Amino acid sequence: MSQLQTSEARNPGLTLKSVKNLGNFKVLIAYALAVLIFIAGQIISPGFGEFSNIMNVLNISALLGFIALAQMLVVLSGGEGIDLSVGAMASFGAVMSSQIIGGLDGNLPLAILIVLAVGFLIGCVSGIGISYFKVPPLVMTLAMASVIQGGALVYTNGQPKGMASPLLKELGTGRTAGIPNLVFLWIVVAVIVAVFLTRTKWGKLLYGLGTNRLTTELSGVRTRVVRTVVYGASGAISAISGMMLLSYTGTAFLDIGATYMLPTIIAVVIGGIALTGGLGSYNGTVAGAILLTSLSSILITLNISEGGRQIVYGIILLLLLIAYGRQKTT
Amino acid sequence: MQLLEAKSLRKSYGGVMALRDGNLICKQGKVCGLLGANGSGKSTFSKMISGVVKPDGGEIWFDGERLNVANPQEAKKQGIIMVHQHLSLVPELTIWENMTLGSEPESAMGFMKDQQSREIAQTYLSKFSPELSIDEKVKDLSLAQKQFVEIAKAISQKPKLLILDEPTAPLEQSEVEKLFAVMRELKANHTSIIFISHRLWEIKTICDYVVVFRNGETVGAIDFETEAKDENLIVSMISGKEHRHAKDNASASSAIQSEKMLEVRELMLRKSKDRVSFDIKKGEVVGLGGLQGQGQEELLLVLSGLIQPKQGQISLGGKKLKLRHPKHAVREGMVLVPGDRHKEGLFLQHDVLLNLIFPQFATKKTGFFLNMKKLKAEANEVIGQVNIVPNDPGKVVQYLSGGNQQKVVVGKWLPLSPKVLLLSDPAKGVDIGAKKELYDTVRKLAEQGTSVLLYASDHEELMDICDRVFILFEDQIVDELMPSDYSEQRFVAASLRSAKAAGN
Repeated sequence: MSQLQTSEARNPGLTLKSVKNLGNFKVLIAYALAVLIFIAGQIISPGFGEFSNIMNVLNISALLGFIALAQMLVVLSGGEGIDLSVGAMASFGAVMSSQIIGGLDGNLPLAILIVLAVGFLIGCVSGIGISYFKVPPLVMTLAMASVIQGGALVYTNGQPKGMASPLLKELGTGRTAGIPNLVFLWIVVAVIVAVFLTRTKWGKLLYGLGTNRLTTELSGVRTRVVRTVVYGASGAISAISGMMLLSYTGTAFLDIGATYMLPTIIAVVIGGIALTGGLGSYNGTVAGAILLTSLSSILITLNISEGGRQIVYGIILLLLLIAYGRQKTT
Repeated sequence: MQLLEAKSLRKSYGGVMALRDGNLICKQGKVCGLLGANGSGKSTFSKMISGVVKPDGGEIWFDGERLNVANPQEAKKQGIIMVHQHLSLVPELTIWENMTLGSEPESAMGFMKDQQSREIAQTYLSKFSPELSIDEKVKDLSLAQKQFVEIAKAISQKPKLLILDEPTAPLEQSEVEKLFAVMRELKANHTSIIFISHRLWEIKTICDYVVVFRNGETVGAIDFETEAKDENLIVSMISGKEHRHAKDNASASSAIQSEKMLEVRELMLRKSKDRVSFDIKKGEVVGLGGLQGQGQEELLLVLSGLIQPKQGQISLGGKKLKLRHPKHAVREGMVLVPGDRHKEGLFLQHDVLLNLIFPQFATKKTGFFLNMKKLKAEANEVIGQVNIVPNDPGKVVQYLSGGNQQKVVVGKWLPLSPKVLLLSDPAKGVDIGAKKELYDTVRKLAEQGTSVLLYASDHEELMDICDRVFILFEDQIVDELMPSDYSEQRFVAASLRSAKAAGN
């Protein structure tokens, strides 16, 4: 109580606006850093800062951005929420899509339906384990990641068949007016997510659940059901993101999504989503995805190997967590 | 001969005086009863003697020397051991392991001598429960058995001064007798005991003298060896004898005529055998009084749907309710203002707006897409009704004062026009002005037909606002006070005498 009063005395003018600005500040920094990277890249390796390369980077950013959306929803829902199975789920989504589509546009609708449904159901299993059987999210989703990986192996007999259809390929690699089609799709998704989070009942429930589970429960919300659905949604989004990965690469391989797991967490944190849940927006995650992809891109330009990049990712995540702290706890 | 003397002990927590002037003399081989209402400072006082809390001022003399202990371990070395109300046993360990934990006999090599530990444990445990095996795990014990283990553990360390904080709370009559037998044995061995209890008959049975605390001060002592065991005198010392009929007529009369709203039948709270039954009329404000922790909060939580009762029936406006989740209660219009607003009532990091509109999401009042303009207008209306300052829906709740935060917790239910408002100590940590506004709001709701069930730890709040008050004791309604009965003394007497009645 007294602590609260003193903090009030210290921050008499701190309103929602300035809190929001704080979030926006992180987003601005992320964009500024991305711009800096392109400028530095242009100096080191002429051509890096050109429009077409920037579009390349955005194209890849979109892939990360889709999977990071799945991660963001889970982190936002609080309760130490984290989904370590997004990478495996994306891989599974990719190989499923590849086999169902088999290069034919006509199979697309069916593939989308099946991939979404399977992703949702598998995600719900994680959600049930976490909200009804009280398995910590970290452990639950790690275990599920292993199950999904194994499942993909069984499903494909170790060798994914099929490939993307022409239409899907056009979506993943084609450009309209010089801008990658995936980027257009990403913009549409971002707008939908923004509306969902700020203008719908479920968006508000997600923020409430992430901030304070007990208050949400006492307001008459079945928080365990909501949490289960959130993990289900994460699964569905990860799986359909796998189809987007396929659209970019044309053919799927078994660990196509594996390298995205850690970057999704970093992108979410860069974007100002509190790992304790309940605060942040997709806008920030988008910025995080762009920053991280441009960083990765310049590291490749500098001939730094995959191992080196992983080291950089890990260090960035740690630095971010130290810098932003685990700000609030309820 | 005196073993311990405490002079003018003081302690404040962040500006709140918990203890102003605590004085006590412990005589060797005597049982001292420590009395006082909740919050009178007796707990803080005994924690100081046992080294848990460091005094801000005053002195403690023990065994002829100035006592200056920084923690319970040092106090233990001096021979002072306290058995706390909240037990500190390790559930996964056995009785004997628990009893010797922290004072295990060791061999020269530093290995533990288990056999010796077991013998010690057996000796002391059998004073209470000879039939109980020392190999039993503590998690499998009843509350009373745990209490015995805790006390046996304390005694096994041969204290000079033993402090027992409400040790009889989980005990039944026969078990209390067992405890008293052990206490008499300790007395015979010249051990001094400080005994805290709310049950007057226990005090009269076992204590050689009593010391009474009120509002953080020692207000007096009665030596039973030379003076009479006058129950009325004790009650008036505890209560301060202030007669109060503060209830104004404006608030008293409104509800009396109307129909039944909430009916509760044979409701079993927690595990006790006792049931609760009562009715509340439309627009009536009913208080829950009594000592702390007698089931008041549990009753409110059951009615809010958060915890499920073992048995019993709840009807609202003639309709039988099945409350398996807060959702069911909220949809029927029975809503809770919980006791801990930070943990249970608010989204601290979000703005007033989200907090005020949130409960509507659980009902069918809003569709999938939200009309933010309309919701914002509603929120503004609520802000005006309960007078949240500043009147800015965009303000983050964390930065509001405690009183204004509490207004948010109450205000968020207003758009649902609740039929029954459950309040759990809503004025805790709220300043006087906000408290008045809060209760004005509650009163106004009642006038519009909302029934109110209010638990408050402060008797005056209950007297100021309630049409009648139930006194709870051990999950049971043991008394009902009407406005004509209202006085501090009646409250204390009802709470304590009922304690006596239930103990017999």
